[in-house]
Amino acid sequence: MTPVVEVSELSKHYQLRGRHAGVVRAVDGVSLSVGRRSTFGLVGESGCGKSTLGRLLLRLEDPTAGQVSFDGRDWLSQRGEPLRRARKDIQAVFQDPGGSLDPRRTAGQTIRDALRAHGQDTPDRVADLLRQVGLSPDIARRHPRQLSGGQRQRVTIARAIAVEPKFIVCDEAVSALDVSVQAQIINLLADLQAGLGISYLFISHSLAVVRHIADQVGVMYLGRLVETAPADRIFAAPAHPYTAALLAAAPVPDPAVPPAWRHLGGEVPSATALPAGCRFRLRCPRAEAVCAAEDPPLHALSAGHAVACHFPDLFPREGHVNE
Amino acid sequence: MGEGTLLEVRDLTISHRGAGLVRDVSFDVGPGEVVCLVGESGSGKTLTGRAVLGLLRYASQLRVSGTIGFGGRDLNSLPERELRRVRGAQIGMIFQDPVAALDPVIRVGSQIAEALGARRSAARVTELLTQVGITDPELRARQFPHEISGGMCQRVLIAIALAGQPRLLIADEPTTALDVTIQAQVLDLLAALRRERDLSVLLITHDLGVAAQLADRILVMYAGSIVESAPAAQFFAEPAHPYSQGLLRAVPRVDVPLAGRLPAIPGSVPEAADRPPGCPFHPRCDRALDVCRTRPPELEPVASGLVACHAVNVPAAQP
Repeated sequence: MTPVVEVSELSKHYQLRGRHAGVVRAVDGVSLSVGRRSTFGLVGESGCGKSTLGRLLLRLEDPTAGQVSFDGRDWLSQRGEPLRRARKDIQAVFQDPGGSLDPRRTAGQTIRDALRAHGQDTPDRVADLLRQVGLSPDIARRHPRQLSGGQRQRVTIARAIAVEPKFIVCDEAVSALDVSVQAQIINLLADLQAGLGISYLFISHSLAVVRHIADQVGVMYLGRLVETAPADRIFAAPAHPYTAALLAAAPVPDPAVPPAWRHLGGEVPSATALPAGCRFRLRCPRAEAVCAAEDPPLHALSAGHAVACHFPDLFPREGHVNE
Repeated sequence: MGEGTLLEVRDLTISHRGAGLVRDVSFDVGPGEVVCLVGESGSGKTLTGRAVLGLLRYASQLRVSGTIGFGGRDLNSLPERELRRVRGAQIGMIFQDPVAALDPVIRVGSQIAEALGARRSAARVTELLTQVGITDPELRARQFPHEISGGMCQRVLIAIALAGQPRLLIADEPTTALDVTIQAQVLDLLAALRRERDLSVLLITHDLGVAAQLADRILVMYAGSIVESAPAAQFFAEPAHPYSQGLLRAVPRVDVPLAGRLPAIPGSVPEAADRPPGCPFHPRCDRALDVCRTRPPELEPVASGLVACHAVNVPAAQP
């Protein structure tokens, strides 16, 4: 089956002027595909380009280079009215539901706005949508300030699914929520996928969160996809040292679990002054001369598993029984 | 003040227009001990930390009562002039957003020197920057906050907090704004400082994973009250309060096999103004009894520590 979204060699470079002149390679030649009814979890630290990639897919920004095909058609060449109509197929859910809801419009009005924009307004639809995201239809009369953080995020999800999209970009969609509520929203997204067949690009800084929703995981570092693998594979045997370090640094709520890996030193270099060769080599415990000379391309290790590293290793994680 | 206690908070209550934001909170922090206040938004954990430092005195809408025993005195009734000698000198504090906590137009070194007061010297600034793990300290001291990373800003704030050689550090979500690899570095630094200086830490966090890395003792807050208090090892092995149990189960983690769906706690934390009568957790609790709807439970001793829960405490009383 063809993927819903196919990204190939996508780049977004920003030109900086003045004292900090240079080129920021926010996204630099990323290729990935998102399957039908499936979730691609995109993980990385701040500044890695994961949100920019999401914005490129949403056509909120235009890429510097590369292609995106959506449902088998070229998505980047769409313009004007056809683009406006096609936008209903790709929706978004962002981190801060307070910031992405109009404070002066009730939940019901917000959802109707989305329906009207695509000529789908019918009277009962709002109540149905609210029920679908686990809210009582009475919520329709409330303003965002009268809702909890979790309820607000449910409203933005109701708005996103209102126009029956095929694909939703979820950018840190559960990051601002309390732990007890975060789990509710992750489960809701999974249920909606099962029921409606939507695909997600699920962008998150947290590998632990992504693990609970993604089928395929991609790890970004300084604009590059450094590793991608099926979720069970990447958590059991990460091949890139950066993926391994991210896993090791993820806090575990159990004082009896010793840190599995020495903590990564250093910090992410400036995006305008990337090191030559591999971008990770300055923090990498296994860097050698070749890493400074050659930028490692993403190459396949096994089905669905690819890594951009000169010395990939299947770091088997001790005691990990998920294989 | 008890033997071996540095900070002794008793019956701390903070209210806003009659609504109790923090209710009857009591706890101790011993010398060299890391006590972790864990809770979700609206639990009152941040207000509790600020009240210890007397930072709520000028919040005219808040009423603060109770005692905060530190060094044989009640900080809550200390005149502001005397409290200032405690703040920064004996109790340091670091906050969630390290970039906002630094003055953007003053060089990093000058901000540390200011905290050193009369004992300031370039050598001492360099020494503090080195102690918090900043390489090339002379260069960093001359830079402005926007020229260094968020992780480095938090290290600078820790250096400022250490300048007065405090006995207690209050750390409110110190790593929440940082990336996970930088968070690990800052937690390592806090663990080392505590080991080397016998520093007591009141760590305030929403993240049970962070708490597990540092805490000796865990205090779980929910809707303004402490609902469980236990040594960290016992707490993570066998949490007693239904809320603690639910919270621990709901944390997504990378170290255990996936077991189906993530168990969520239904509902959400009530606002201070519309907390239900009885136990504030009962509408979300799968073990709620009739008594939970009417009478608030009190903290009572159990094998692992203290728990405020009728379902946990009642069966023990009537075997």
